[in-house]
Amino acid sequence: MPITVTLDVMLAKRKMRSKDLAARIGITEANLSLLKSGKVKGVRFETLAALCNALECQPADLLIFEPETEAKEN
Amino acid sequence: MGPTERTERIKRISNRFQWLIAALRIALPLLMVFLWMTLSLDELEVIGPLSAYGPLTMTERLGAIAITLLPLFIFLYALGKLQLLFRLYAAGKFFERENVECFTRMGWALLLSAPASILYKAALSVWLSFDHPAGERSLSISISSNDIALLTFGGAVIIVSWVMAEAVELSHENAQII
Repeated sequence: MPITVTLDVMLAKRKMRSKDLAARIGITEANLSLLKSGKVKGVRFETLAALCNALECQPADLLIFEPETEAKEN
Repeated sequence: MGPTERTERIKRISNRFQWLIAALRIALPLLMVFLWMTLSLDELEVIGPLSAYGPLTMTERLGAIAITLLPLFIFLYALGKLQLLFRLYAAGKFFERENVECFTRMGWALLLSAPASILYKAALSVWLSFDHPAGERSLSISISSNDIALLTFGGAVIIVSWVMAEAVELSHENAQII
C-alpha cells in the first residue's frame, strides 16, 4: 500500500498518548493501534475529521503517499 | 430507531424464535408418533390417499412411523439449522461464515425434502398395501404442490446463502475500515 499513516509522528508532536486520543475520538485502542500500524483497508472521513480535530492538524499531516517503485530486470 | 436498538430488537426476537423452533423440533416427532398410533385410516387420509384395508394393525402403524422418519429427519435437520441461525442472531452474530453455513445446509435439506417426500409417499403406499392379496398391492408415486414448494424454497434458500456469503465478505472488509 503506497499510503503510510504517520499518526505516531503527530502523536509525538502533540505529546499525546494513544489511549487519550482513542478516548477523545471515540474509537477503541485496538482500532487506533491498527490504524497507526497501517493494518487497515481504509479510514472513514468521520474518523479522519475526528483525528484532525483532536490533533489540530490537517489530513495531509497524517497520511503520506509514497509511490511504489518496481525493480525491473531486463 | 438507532442501530443499537435495531440490533437489540433482532437479538431479542431471534432468541424467542430460537426457543419456538426448539419446541417445534420436539413436538413434531411426538405429533407424528401420536397421529400414526391413534388416528384411524379415514383420519389419516389427510396425508394422501392411503390404500390400506380395514383398520390399521400395530405392525402397519409402526412401519408407517419408520417410513415417516425419513422425511421427518431431513425436515428436523433443516429446522436445526434454522434454530442455530437464530441462536447466532441472538448472540449478535449476523455476518459470520457460520451463518452462511446454516443457510447452505438448510437450503440443501429443504431441496432434499422434496425427493424424500416423494419416496416417503411411494414407500407408504407399498407398506400399507403389502397385506393385500396378490394383484391388489400398489406402488403410487405422486408429486404434490408441497413437493414443488419445497424444491422452490430450498433452491431460493441456497441462492440466499450465496448472497449471504457475499455479505460476509463485505462485512469483514468493512470491519477493516476504521
